[in-house]
Amino acid sequence: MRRLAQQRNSGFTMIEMMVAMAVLVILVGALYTCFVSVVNTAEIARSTTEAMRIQRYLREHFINHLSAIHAQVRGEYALIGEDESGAYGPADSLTFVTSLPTSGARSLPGIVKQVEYLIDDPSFSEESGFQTFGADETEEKPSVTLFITERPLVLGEDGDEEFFEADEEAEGLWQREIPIRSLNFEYYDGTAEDWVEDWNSDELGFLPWAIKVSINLAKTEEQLRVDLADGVGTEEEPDVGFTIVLPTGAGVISPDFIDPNHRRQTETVDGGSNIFEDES
Amino acid sequence: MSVRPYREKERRGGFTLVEVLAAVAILGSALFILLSTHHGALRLFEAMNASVVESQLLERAVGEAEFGVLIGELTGSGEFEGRFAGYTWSYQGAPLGGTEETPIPFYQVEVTLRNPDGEDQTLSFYVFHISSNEVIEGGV
Repeated sequence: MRRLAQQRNSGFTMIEMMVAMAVLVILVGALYTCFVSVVNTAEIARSTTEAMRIQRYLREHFINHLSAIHAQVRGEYALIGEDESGAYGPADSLTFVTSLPTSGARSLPGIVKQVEYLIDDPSFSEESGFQTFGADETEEKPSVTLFITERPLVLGEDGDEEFFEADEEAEGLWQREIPIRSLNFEYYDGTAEDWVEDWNSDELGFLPWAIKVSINLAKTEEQLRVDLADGVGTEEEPDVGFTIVLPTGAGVISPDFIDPNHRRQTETVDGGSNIFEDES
Repeated sequence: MSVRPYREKERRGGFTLVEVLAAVAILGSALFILLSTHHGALRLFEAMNASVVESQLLERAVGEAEFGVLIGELTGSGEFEGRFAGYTWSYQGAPLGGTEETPIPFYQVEVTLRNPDGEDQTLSFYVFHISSNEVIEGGV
């Protein structure tokens, strides 16, 4: 009798083991699901934060630099926006001169800079001259890069309207690369009362009243699949989109770059004469 | 020779019902705390995401409002599409100061963003603009 009881206590029965294993498996399964979910959430939060950081940076860069645009320049330093298309949509470029100090290096007196937004699209074939598209929407494609270049300029020595590019080695050429999908600029023509796709203030003689910027950020294949599943077209609504009213361009229809400040100067200081009169 | 010691020995070999219940209760409460914390973190993340999206859309609406005032439209509205479907915006501008003969192009603009739940977010700001009716004729 005693011996029998000892034998029973020496181990678990098959049923006990199976129940214990089943409970263990359920617990581990629940914990593992929870853990995977936490890791996924953390990854989504990280990429969202990164996207937010890029959005904020681009927004501030565009708004600050376009608001401080230097209107009284012609030729290659005028506001020139070109309408181009890339593999994922618009890949516009824009260049202008602004009076904001160069990023990173605080203001040097009398120095303005030329800002350039240029898209580098590796899927654009130089030889054939056309875009190479993937057959499938979710197919792996080379990324598109937005190059933001800030080129310091100094005024010519004889005080004329000419700008000279500062010595790149001495002054530093500031450049930043941001992976994006598409970039579109639209310009509001105050005289035609309409939005146009490109602008050349050297030819037109005046600045747009406002500029509309639409950016689609670079996305991973996973994010694209999610967007596709949600029925969100990548071109429909930009990730980053805003309208900037140009303080020096708004309300101006003259071909002489007259902005409100110069009008004030014309009426009060120069007694009716225009500061650009000598040129015309 | 009694039966009692033998019985006690047999009872010691397994857990009682109370012991098992206590263990399950502890495990259950621990799991509940873990899952509710996780759920709370998820909700917090979603709320933060939504508020960031709202503030970005509000800033976009401000740009639209500023442009609207520039071209002489003192009221306007619109809606966002695609991933931001359900969000709508509207603005109202009121001229401040000046007389009818010599108006000052200074406006108070109030922008409202309505999220899909019908909650409003409002931002008020001032704009100084020479509107399209009063464009500057340059060139002299």
